[in-house]
Amino acid sequence: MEKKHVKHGVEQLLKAAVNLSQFAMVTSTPPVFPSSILKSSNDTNINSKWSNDISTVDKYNWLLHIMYGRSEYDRIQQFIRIQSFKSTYMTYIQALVYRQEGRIVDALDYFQKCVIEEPSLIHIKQVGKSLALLGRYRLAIDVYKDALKHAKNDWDILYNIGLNYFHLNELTEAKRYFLQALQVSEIQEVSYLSLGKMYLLDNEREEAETVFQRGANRNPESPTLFTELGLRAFAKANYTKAFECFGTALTFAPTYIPALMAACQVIQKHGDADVALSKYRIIYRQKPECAQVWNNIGMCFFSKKKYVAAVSCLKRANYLAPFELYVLYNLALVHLHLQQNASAAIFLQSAIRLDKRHAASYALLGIALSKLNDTDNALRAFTYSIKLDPTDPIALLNLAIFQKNTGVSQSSIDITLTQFHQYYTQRVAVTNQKEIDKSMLDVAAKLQNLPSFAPQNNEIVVVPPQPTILFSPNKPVIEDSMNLSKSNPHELSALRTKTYEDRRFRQKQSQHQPITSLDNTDFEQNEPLNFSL
Amino acid sequence: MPSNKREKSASRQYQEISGNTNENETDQTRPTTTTAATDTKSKWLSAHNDFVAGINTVGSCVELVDLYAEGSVNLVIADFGNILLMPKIQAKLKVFKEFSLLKENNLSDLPCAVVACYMDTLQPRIPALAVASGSAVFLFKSLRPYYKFVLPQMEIAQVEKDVWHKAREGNIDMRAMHDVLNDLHRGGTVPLTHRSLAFLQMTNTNEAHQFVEHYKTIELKRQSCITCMKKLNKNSADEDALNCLVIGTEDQHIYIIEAQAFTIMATMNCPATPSFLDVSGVYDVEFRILATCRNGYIYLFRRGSETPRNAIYLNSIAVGLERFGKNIIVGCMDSSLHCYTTKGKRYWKHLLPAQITAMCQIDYRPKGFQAVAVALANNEIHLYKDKFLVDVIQVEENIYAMKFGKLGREDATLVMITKNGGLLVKILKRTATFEESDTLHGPPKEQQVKIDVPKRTKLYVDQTLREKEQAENMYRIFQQDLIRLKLLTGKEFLKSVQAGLNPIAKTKNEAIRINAEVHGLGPRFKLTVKLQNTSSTSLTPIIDLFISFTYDENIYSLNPNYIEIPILITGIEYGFCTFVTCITDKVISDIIKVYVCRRDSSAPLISAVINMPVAEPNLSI
Repeated sequence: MEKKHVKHGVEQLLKAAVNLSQFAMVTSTPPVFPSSILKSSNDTNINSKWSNDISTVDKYNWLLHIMYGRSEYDRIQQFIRIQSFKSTYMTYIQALVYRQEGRIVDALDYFQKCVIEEPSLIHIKQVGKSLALLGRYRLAIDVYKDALKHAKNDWDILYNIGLNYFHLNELTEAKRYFLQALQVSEIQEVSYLSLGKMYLLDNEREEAETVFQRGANRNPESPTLFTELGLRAFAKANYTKAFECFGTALTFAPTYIPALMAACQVIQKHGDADVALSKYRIIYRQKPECAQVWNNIGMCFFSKKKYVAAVSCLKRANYLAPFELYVLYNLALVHLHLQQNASAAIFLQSAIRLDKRHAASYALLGIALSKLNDTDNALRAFTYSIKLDPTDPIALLNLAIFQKNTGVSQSSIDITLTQFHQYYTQRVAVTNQKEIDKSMLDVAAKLQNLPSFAPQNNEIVVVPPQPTILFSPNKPVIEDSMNLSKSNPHELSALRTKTYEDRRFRQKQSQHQPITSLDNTDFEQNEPLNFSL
Repeated sequence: MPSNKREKSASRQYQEISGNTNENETDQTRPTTTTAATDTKSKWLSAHNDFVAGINTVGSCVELVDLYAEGSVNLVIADFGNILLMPKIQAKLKVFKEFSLLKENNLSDLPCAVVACYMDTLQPRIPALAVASGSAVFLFKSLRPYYKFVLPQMEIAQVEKDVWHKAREGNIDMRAMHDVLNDLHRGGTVPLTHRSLAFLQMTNTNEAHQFVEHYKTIELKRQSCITCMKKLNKNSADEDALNCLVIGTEDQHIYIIEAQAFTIMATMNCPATPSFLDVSGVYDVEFRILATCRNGYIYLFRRGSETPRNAIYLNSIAVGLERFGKNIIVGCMDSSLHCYTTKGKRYWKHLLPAQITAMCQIDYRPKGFQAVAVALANNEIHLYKDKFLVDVIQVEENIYAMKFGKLGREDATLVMITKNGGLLVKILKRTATFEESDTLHGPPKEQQVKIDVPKRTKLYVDQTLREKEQAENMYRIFQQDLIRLKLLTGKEFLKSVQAGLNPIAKTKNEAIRINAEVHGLGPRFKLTVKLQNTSSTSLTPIIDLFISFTYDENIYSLNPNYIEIPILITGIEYGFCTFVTCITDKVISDIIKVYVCRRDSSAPLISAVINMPVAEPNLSI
């Protein structure tokens, strides 16, 4: 009876085997690893291999794990090589080591081998990760979705699917998965960061800010989230809040570069070049070849009126990143200050070659050319600049000065000046008071009053030949700072470190005008700064 | 000159900044030490340095215990020996007394943990040593083997048992066996034994056959292995009270084992394989077990529940776990040190300057000093009290295992095993005090380093001055030269296009790329001209082309020196060969020009210039 039963069982097994043989042929992939590995070990220790107790092949896994934790990759590989039986975990660790060594394809092979041997969640995830690292995002998504069948509520899988969709530029899908990941686990800061990034790419700034804020509430020590939050505030010109956020980020990670760069930006906005410089040193130690840092260092020197040092730094920045528009623009600006007008014009031409629609460069080129006595081209540069950006009060003012110097009729100067006043008040309305240089108004007033030859304007009547020399170089400084603060929000968060220097406007002719309350506020603003650093 | 002055004042400015912002940093020679450690003397006395002790172990295999109940604490180390001589096991259990080896026992396999536990109520209190290795715990009493506890066997699927039974009787063929096991492996609820898995991995039938022949007579077993072990007091919190053993296993279980009769008192299911355990409390009252797992989670178990109460996700793999009261301190592979509450909230996180290689708890009762020591890959040991870095110890090598406690009659010693097998012992000075100071949050040390502003030369300054005077002139000349340069470039480009001199020919509807290779040492060379039709607009093949060469006939002879090109299909690279023979005796070389021409036009389509190598002389023997 029993024998029969057993026989029946065998028949059944054989039947199943026949049915499955086709399937097995397809699915049991030929050995992923080169068979030579197996063979060599066979040949060398064929005896010892089969005398081992095979049931405890996992007994050294803990040691491999500890060695991997200490990054003893060479030793791990040697150790695995001498093992006669390779357990799945050994294959897994070997794959991890390969990944650490950058051999992603080998790692993928080994992870796939792991999945064949033991289709557990962790192995499937690693296959997905390797595929994503190799840039095969579609396949990775498939693998992760397969993994989702094993574990419905694993934020890691959801997050990774989202990330892959992001790489495929399918933002809505990505967003959906990031949201799911956040639903599963609310504390993961990477989910918040990625979701926020999605919103930013979709230009939903408010949403992004809420996400970052939520993340920061859950992760009160996350430098990345606070930096993002600060950048949002910075984009909205809420500098106090921005600075607070950067300060928080730096309290927990004093050398976190994006937060440092952003904080320095705020510091420079307050005109405290010395403090900014000392902070740039930290970045400089870590990234001595970063053009953006050199650019910002250069502009710190510029606001300290150390023009030669500024030129040195900017030239290094230009050397490191020859195609950076702002470096060229800043170089031109500093050269204008040094009255090296020819150099300034050449740098501006390079800048314009990089971005043909950069209005500020044209305006500056107008000044440089007018000093090089190329009035025709200067006028063309001014007109083109205003055509590109008709709302820029500084370009308008500089044009008025230029017109004055070239003896254009007072009526057309007045037209320019009315435009200037119009856009000036507009800009004052929308931006922070501190960013606008009030002395522009004085200059405009002088220009308007000139024709009257009123006795009280005597001193200014004498000035006319010089105004460009005196005033014009200063204007673009402010202009640039505005331009930058506008351009910031458009920056991708990935390029966060590229927060360009916003030059503090320094009044060369401040004899006319007591320095505004600016500098006082600077010192007040410094307080939170020192504590945060 | 003025620029130099500016430079100088700039650099002075730097010094001022660095002076102002960092008054508290005075010790420049040891930049990472804290203010607390700036007093030149270290807090530690070096008691023993043996860099050639040849000990190879991990932190869990070091134990400080009074083995003979004589008031003097022994150092017990389970030494792996050289693990790379693998089939040969050199593992030894070594007992040191006052830095000298007292006794050593051979171990049958690599130990993964050593725990000194009390397993009886006899007086005097003499502890036993429990050594976990493989799937068993070996107990040593008075350093003599006393008992071996083996983990329970795991379930094996009936089908698998049947298959191997058949195999033993010899009435199943290899193929069927493979298929059945494979099916079971894919669909089965019970994992296969390692034997079957190994069998499935075999690719060579012959080999598989041998494998089955060898194993079919051996009993089929599925057994787990121990990954970590700690002890837990059974019924009293006293230091010398009865203990139980807490064992984490490869198959994702945590067992609590009673040390008197070796029965499993409790089993817990861990979602992943535990790698480090931390145990506190008393078994009979309330206890907690923390387990860091290979999947990057920390799980918290409590009395009475089989599943974890709480899970903390680490972003990386844990390399060490310590607990102070309700604070969990865990070091991760990404060189970060985290502190969590048992609820899973993170108190703080530090990024350390290098990878963590070992961690241990420092609990110095007489002074009430509790800290965690973290050995780093940059040969430093950092001591953290709460979140503050209170001391940095410099050592000569990477530390792979550490243990703090009593040794001999000394109260506070730190035993360290280095990467290369050295044994170091340091004693904490009795006068040492650790100040809590928030040194981590001071300005980073990089802030004092000057920025290396590139210097400007005198020539530059002179040029600047000249430019100020003659800006207009310079600008005009520059513009003229620039335009002239552009013109010249354009002209040359036009010329090369017309003459077919550039390596990629582009006409309205055909684009060809040329590439030439010379093989051989001479005097006979093989010259391969590779042509590729790269036009993307039209798919019509190019026909009616030929290759011809110009060369100095006194130096080279080519055979053939005219090649007809039958057809060039888009995207495919064609190679055309000719043989070049150097016919001169002189050691000279020349250029050969290759022209690809159309049959109907006189100007070449493209051309290439080949610099021939100097030919080896013809050897006549």
